[in-house]
Amino acid sequence: MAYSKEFFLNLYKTMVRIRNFEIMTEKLFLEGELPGFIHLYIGEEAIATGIITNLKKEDFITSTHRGHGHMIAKGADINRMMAELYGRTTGYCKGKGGSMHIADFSIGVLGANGVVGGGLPIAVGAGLGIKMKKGDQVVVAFFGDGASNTGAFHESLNFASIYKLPTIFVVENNQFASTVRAKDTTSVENISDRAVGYGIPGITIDGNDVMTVYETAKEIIKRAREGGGPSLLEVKTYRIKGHFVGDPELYRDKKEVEEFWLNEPIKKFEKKLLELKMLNEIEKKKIWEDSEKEIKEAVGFAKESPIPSKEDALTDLFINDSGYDY
Amino acid sequence: MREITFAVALGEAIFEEMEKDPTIFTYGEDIAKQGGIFGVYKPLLGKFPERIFDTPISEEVIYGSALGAALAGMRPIAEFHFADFLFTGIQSITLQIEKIRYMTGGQGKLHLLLRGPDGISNSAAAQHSESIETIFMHTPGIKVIIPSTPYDIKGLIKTALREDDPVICFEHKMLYKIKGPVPEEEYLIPFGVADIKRKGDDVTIVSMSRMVHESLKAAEELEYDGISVEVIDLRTLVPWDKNQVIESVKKTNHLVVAHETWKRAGWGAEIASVVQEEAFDYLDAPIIRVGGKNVPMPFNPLLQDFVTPNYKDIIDAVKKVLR
Amino acid sequence: MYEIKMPKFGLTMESGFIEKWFKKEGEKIKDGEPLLEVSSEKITNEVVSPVSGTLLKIIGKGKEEIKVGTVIAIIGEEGEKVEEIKETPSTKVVPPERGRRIKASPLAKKIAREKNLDLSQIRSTGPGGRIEKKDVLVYLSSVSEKKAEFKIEKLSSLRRTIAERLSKSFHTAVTLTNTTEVDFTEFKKLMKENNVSITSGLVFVLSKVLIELNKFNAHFDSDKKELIIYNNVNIGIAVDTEKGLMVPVIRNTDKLSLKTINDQIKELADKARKGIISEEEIKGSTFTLTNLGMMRTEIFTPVINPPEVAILGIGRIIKKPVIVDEDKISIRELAYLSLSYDHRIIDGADAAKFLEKSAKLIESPVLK
Repeated sequence: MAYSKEFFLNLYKTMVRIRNFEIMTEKLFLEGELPGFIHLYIGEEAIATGIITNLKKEDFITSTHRGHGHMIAKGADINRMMAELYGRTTGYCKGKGGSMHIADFSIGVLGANGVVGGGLPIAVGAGLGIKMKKGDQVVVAFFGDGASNTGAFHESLNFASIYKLPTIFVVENNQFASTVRAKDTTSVENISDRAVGYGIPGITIDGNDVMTVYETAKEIIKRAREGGGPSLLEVKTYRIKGHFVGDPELYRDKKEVEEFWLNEPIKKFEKKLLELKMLNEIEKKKIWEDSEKEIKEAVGFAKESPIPSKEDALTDLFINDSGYDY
Repeated sequence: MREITFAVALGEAIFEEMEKDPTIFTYGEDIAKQGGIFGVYKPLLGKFPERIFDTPISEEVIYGSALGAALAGMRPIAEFHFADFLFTGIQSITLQIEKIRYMTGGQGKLHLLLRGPDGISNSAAAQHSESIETIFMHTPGIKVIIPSTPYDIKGLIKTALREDDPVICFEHKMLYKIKGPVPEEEYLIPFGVADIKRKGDDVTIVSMSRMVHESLKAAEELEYDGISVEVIDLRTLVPWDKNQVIESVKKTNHLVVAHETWKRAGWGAEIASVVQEEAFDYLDAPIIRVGGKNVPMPFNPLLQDFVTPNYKDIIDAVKKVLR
Repeated sequence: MYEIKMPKFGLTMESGFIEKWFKKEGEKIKDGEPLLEVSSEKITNEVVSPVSGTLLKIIGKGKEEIKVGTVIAIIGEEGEKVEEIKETPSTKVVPPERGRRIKASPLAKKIAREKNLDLSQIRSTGPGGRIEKKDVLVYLSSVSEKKAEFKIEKLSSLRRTIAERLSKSFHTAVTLTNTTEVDFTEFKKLMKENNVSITSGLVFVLSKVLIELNKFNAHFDSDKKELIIYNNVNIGIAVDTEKGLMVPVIRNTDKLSLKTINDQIKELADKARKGIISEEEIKGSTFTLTNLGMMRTEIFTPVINPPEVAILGIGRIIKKPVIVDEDKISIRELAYLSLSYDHRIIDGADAAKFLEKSAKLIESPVLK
């Protein structure tokens, strides 16, 4: 299939935006600017970009604790994201969620989730809701190799399968669940093999090739949207950074990381685009500079945003909180 | 006024709301094929067959999907088979449903209802007999309703199905059969409003669910001893009608809280603590709680009787408080 | 300015109570004029002003016990300004007794607070001695009732002491009373002739009996289980005063003449009634005599004055027909002697002997 330059550059820009956001986040965190925990998506940008580019605004996604990439790919406002990381009232969650619970329901992001596998039942439910409504949206549930071993995973795949829900399960196998290797704790080498057990199609692809991801996802999403039910898409990648910023990474060799860094998705795509003459060095430079500028402005926005007041802690629990004891 | 059973009143409430609101659907284990416990859902099967279905035994995804469905714009009723099993899917309730709205800074309307039976029955033993409502009072983020009569359940369920916040409803197994007056006309019961089931002057009993009936029975007997008992049915645990309880204690100066769930750290302790904090000077005696013994539910019916509180325990508590 | 301080009556007095003030603030007072009345454990006494002037300020008020030496009033020139001297606080700071915490329900405390009630006055019927609302209400209604039917009189310190001592005596001594009717006709004549009271005569007679039956002239130390038999006879005479019973003591009556005894009795009784008797004058008796003859009492059972071992009471002298010389009827004047004795020390036979000897001496009186 032929793609326009605009299309390619869109993908590229999205990946660059995610990358720069994460680089800045890492920097800020190490400088002590950000409270809490940060889980970086660096090296996995092709997955979020490739899949979510296929989605409409009304489609839903659920994310993980490593959710910045999904948010950005779905079209989130960088300023509001940065403000949330800073815990300010202008953040997506008014400073009450932080990185791990960042969400924007208005663009269909049903939240990053701090519980491994926590997003899966929610994604199933969204699919159920769409089906009951007889709508044509789909739901993409992003989760990791670690989550594929939780009870929630198995219940969710079974449930979505029997009702043929428009929920697509995407397992981002970055080969590490916190400090533990996927291959040591998962009973199969390819997690997509588990799809058989639930009567749904499963496929494993290279998650570092954004076009592969895009094209595979396109098929699967179309199928779901047309009532074909769920699929399990395994995208293999590598978690270049530690589990969280500050992770001493005692569980792996630096050389291993360096090796995989050679195969990182942005460079890979960049190379391809340059070859196809869809991108030149000047354009590339500009894209990177613009992106960095955008991120810097977001940091400025966040830093000037107001800090929540004490009273803010007692709001947003219920819509109708009459009679409730805080 | 016509008298119908608790189960029928429940079914009526759901049916009437489903007629009005096309986004309501209900699912759970073993509910559709047999029309639900005591035929609660029979009218639904007739009219809305596609809006009621059975699920696999997957509590985590049953409750978690209620959340997802609500976010996608539907209004699900997820039934739990036994309250005890809420624990098998507890992650979805306490980590997701209760937290999502707050964590996302108030995004979304989580209009969902979890409902099902709790409490003792015919020697169902430790994994099928418990009352665990206290946990959902302790962890913030979900409203808890516990009706005790057909009138109350109809009004409360209707309100729940119009709430935009998550609600969990506990229905004592042994109440499904009881009959009570229920008007034909529509009515709603707001949350956080207690019902004085019996007026009195000497002692206040605060209770919910099956223990309300035990309290009323105790009150009848105590009347012979010249003790005038006021029985307050909270009807909803989150939020609960603190003002009504305090007003009553100011009048009677004596309080007993009675619930079937374990006495230790049960919700009765919260009520007692709040009352002694805010109405200290009106108490003429310590507050006494009546609750289950702190053990899992034993199988043998005699043992079950022993560990479960009843009207006699309430009478003893009242006498102790009035000494 | 002159400071009036709580005086000390007697060696052992440490504190006293102000019974009443004779003058008000602002009134003039003269040197020697009675200023106030003070009571201690044993006696009540008038305090006279040592100076003339105006009573500028009364400091000691109320029913609290005040330590000896504490300033209780200021006397000075009329119009003189007195520095604000704080009300002398009660010297006895009673710390909350551990283990005697007053238990009351919050509601009971609230009502008590609102009605200004002292929880320590309220009788509790709640569990563990807890005062409940109904206890407070009962107290309230009884207080209001009481106001209608009677007035409450707090016991004076003297009364309190009497009550305590007599109660002690009653409950420790094994008190019995023997009586005998005695012919006082000759005795009465003789006393009249000599211008002395019956009481004086009795003291004279008793002294002799007590020397002979010296077991009766003793103190019993029940702790040490010792009987202290005295060589001198000191007879206490029970005197009824406005304030209550006082027992001034005539010392060494065995060595005194009838007349001296009579004079002394008169003097001391007078002092007692006036309230100016000293502590010394009311202690040290070895035996007590109590005369109720002026009232309508014939036989009675006086309680022993501890640590004495016996007490003699005499009742009314009445004219009665009596058999004399075997078969003649004569009008004689008779009265009962009632001897109460401590049976731990004295047996019935001893008591009988005492009465016999006393009766003999009365019926055939000798003035030597």
